[in-house]
Amino acid sequence: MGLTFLTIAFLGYFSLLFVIAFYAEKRERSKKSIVNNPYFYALSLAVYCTAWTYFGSIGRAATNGYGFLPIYLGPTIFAPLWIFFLTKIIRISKAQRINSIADFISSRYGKAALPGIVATIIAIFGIIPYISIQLKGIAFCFDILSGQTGPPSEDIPFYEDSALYIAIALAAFAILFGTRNVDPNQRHEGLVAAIAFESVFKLVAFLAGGIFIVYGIYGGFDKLFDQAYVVPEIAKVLDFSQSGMEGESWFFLLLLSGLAVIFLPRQFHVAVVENTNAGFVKKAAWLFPIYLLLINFFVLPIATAGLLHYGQGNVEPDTFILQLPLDYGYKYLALFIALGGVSAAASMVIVAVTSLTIMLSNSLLMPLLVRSRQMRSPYLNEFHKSVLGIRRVGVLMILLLAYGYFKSVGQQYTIVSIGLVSFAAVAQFAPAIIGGIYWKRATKKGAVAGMIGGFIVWAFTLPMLNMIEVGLCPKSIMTEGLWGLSFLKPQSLFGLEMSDQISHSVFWSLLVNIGLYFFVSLSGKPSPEEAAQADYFVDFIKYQKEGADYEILKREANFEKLRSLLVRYFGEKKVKSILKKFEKKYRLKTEGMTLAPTELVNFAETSLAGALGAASAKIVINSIVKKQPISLEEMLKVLDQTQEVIQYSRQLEISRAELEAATVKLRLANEQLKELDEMKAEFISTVTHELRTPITSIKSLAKIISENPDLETAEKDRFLNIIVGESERLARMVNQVLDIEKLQMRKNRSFDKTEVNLRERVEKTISSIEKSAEAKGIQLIFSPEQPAYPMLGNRDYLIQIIINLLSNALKFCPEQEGVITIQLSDTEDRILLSVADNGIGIEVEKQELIFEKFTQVQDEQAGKPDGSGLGLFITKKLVEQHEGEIWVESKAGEGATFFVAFPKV
Amino acid sequence: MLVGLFFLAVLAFNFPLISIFGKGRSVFGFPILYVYFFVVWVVLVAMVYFWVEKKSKNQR
Repeated sequence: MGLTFLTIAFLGYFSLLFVIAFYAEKRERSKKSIVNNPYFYALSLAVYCTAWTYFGSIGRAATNGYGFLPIYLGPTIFAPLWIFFLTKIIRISKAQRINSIADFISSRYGKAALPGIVATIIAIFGIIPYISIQLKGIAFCFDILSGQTGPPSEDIPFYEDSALYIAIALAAFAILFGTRNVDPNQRHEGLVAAIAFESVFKLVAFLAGGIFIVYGIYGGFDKLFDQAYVVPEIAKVLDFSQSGMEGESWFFLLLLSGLAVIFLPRQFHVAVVENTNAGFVKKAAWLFPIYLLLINFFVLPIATAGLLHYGQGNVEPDTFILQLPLDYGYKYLALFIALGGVSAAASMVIVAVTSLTIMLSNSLLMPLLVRSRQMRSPYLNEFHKSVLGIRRVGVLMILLLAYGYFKSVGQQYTIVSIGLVSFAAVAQFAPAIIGGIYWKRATKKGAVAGMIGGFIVWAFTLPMLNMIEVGLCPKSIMTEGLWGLSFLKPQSLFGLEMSDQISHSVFWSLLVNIGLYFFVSLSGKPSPEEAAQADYFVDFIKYQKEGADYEILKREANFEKLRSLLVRYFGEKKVKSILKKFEKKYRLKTEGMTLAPTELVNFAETSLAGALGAASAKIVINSIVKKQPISLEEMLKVLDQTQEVIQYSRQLEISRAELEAATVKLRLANEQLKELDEMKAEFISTVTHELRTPITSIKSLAKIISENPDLETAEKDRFLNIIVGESERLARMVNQVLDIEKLQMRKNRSFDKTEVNLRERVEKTISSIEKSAEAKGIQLIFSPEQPAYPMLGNRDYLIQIIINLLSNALKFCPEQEGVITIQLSDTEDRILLSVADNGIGIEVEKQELIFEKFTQVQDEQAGKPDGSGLGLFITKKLVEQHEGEIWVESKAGEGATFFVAFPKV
Repeated sequence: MLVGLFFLAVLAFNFPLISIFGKGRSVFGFPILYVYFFVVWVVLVAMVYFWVEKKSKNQR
């Protein structure tokens, strides 16, 4: 087939793609989008299948049997997990207007420029090899179809190399498809429509090729495999053990592809940035694996057929799918299949380049430029044009670099082996992103350290290895290790040998990446912005529920300044629509605003981020904001104040508790006082009653005497005696009442107690009443040999106790016959004092009563005895104050013995 | 439940099971392993599909 014919055929196909793209964008503008459904979404994900799938897989299957499969099993296995993970990422990205994977990382770690810059560099270095294999695939198509069996491309001068022109053509398509506007939404429905279409096309073309080869050439699967098993070399290929995938390689490939299907920049772009509805993920989770299954179904059969037909080593297996139909004379089928292959390759390149240039302009160049003073000056008027210009230049640069890689390194390696190098590069995003949405403690420094560390290890163990093998770097690094250090050999770091270099690289790079990510994050603290973003990303659900635009920074700006800033980037028309959107959302009028409120400032920043990336937008907006965002000091102050408030309220709690306790105590005391009050009232009434009796007697008798001057002397004497007696009684009573008062007052206070000698007290008391006893003829018996009986007590009150008892005894003893026996003894824990008399005794019923107030033993015959009735009461109280006990043992008519027991010291 | 599916998939597509089916041929002329892979693949996808459908029904 002539080259001209081919070129026209391909151009024709691409024109078709353009038409589809335009149609889709027209529908989008009229709000009747065709792209906005889950099926288009799932098909757009199929951009995962590129020239790799078309050519590389078959090549791999021919040498390694099932070894091609893990690349597609990985995404299938991870599909159930995406439903959580990807949905969360999509929602966050929509809310924060994230436009690339580098922007996501930059936004998460405090809207900082550095993480975005690092991510962009990794992406560019990682994806250039991948783009180069697409060039290789397209070059195959051209070469084979045009029948070129000439010298391999590396000997052709570059201006004759079709691959170069292909690269340039692809750049043109990428520019036309992907870099047409700086719309804040960054969505390209035309691009998505074109991708979805070509996903269908390439699947159909591949299946066509497969069906032809299996049924057309060999007559069916069974016949194909029958023939295959006859040839031992081919049979070996079909055996799993031949896959060269023993052990860890299989596992690592599964892991790697599971990660790559999201973290490849082009995948992130179609899966997240171009997504219109997070709910689509659920359908994609089973639609996409089905697509993968279908497109892989014929890979092994085609490889088998190729091996059967060509034997091994004659034809490059990557090209079986084209060679076979061609050799059987089916030119147009081969062309059809080739179109599929070229389409697969081209779509990868277009999407990859689109997303890479977005990263380049927004996350790499913008932050650098915006900081420099130049950009803030008049050049900004043409800013939105500059953004596009930067992107277009970027497209061309990337494609030329990919071509360069293709020429220098790409020829020597199979498609799959180069592709896996890219997979391993983008795996370095995994810790920063997965950690970013689940681990709040991750810091910017941690993410940057992890990515840089992982990247360095990746670069050393894979691309550098390739360059050594190709001769671009000295072989000594491989044989002796870097700088002669044998543990730094790129193919076996620290002497670890794994089944293949990819697994080796992935293992070490992820180990270093995750390790640094953890340790650097934990050994530092997130800045306020990082913490705010971390909270937002990890706990996104709660922000969603609250619905408000997430605000932590309170800032205002001059409205006119803000407006003219937006105009600089977006142009008048766009700004009008942005403001309208804002008004609708927040129900605020922007007309006549002088000061733009926080909501508007944040809204403006988010819109700007769609065009410039989060980091640059933040810088630009901050340059016109009136108030500084909350500085660390202010935040700390607020935290301190909050702490104070918390402490204060805690103290209030404590005080309240204490207050309650105190109230209870007060209430109790109040009750007690009321009781005492009542008692006192009762007491006073009783006392006054009792006091009145002698006073009445005295009064009446005195009256009688004064009114009867001629009273007989004997009578007068008698009356006077009674008066004297009653006065004494009165005096005694008053004293006793006073004593009781003193006692009551002292109830809660214990009076002074000292060490006293009870025997000595008894002796002292006895000596003071000896005379009275003698006068009455009553005998006092007290044995002087008794032991000392030390105890704790009040010296005076003890005397009073003893005197009361003795005087009682004296009162009730018969004169001239009375005997009072005083004894001291002790038990294990008490000292006993007993005062026994042989008087009239006390009836059993009265034995308790006598210790109460105003109760006396009454003898009908003897009349009212002397005394107030208070003596024993007082005695009992005094004894109780000594923590003792007092009781009486007596029988009526047989005397009484009073016992007092004191606790032993 | 989804996490369970994930682990099931990991197991199904990994070593011990694969080496069982590794050798030999002939189920409808296909090598057994081939059949195994693709059948399991379909089954897994179907399980995801049913889970998704159930979820959306619940939400209606």
